[in-house]
Amino acid sequence: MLADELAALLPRMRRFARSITFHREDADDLVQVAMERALGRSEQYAEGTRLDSWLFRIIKNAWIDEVRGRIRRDRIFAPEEEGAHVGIDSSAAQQQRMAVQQAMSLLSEEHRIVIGLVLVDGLPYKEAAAVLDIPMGTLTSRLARARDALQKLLSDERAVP
Amino acid sequence: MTYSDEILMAFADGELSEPQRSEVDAAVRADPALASIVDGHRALRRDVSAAFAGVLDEPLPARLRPASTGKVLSFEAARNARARIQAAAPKRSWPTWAALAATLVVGVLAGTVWLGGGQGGDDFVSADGGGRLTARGELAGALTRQLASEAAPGSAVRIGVSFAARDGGYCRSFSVGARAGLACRDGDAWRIPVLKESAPAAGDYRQAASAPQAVLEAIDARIAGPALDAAAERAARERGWKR
Repeated sequence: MLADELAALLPRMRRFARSITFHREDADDLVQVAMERALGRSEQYAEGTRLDSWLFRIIKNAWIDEVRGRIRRDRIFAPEEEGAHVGIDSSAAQQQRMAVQQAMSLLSEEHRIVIGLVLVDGLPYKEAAAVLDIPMGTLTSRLARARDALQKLLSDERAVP
Repeated sequence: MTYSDEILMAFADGELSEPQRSEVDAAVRADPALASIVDGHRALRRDVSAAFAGVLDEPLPARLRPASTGKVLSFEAARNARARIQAAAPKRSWPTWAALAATLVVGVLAGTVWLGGGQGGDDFVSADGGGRLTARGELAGALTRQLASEAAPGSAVRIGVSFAARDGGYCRSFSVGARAGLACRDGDAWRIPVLKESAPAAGDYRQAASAPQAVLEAIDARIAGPALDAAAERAARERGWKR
């Protein structure tokens, strides 16, 4: 049953949503909207294709709609205060995770989404290209540029005392 | 032989097919400069993956469990619906914690702990000689009777999430006043392995849906499978929280 299969994918959808939105609440709002849309448009899902790719596409489109709406409404949104997640834990590994999340937040939407699909979720290039509806060549060059941008941000962060 | 960064990236990601994969593999083994580029791609992938891996282990919020999906079709509507739920029935969701840096273990050496700040000083927890905490009074009653999925007007206790623990029992997260903790069923008692106090941060709406880190960690350390949905929670209550 589609609803059960969707439910099984919830943790991955939440992780992807968190990687592109940063806010726990935004991410869960996004997943909720995507779930509703997926259930409401189940006839659009082609049997035999990957359900996860279809869902990621729904999430991505819902997020882009939301971002455009926020820009129109001139709403400011910034990465979540890290205190929300990490409390007083400041181990090196935790600091590294925070640094990556921070750097991710500074990427363009386009770069963040491709990183979210390939590096956070681990989708193969072919599937990520299908989610984004772009050719493989475009996917690899976009991913390479996104990684480059992320790596630069992380290096800058480390350079700052 | 030189390779573009895109080829090296695809190699690092395991995306090349033969015979190209073997060619690049040989080149990378022979050239430390290429190897360092490939290592960089792999390290970034590992770091990015690790930065978000924790989300997979978080208990699902109640509103995302399949039974709770309603007819909300826009992001704005989902947000507004959440705001309404939190405003109208705060007992259905986590209370406003936040300011987690301020968490502190409620000091318990022996004797009785008084919890309930602002609630009139009710007695919710007792400790035995070994410092083990056990719920009592209104907290014990709420843990036994109250459902996370139902509002409980008049109760000072809020139940967060109920779940089956790896050791075979049931555990439930809760909050009373500004304290939050985890309670696990042990015979007819509710033992409390974690109890934290968090200073509320005024107006910090964003973080309203999360519990203190120590409680989340205690849940992560014990939970077996997904959190109980409303029906499973009710069934567990009817069995007296015995499995």
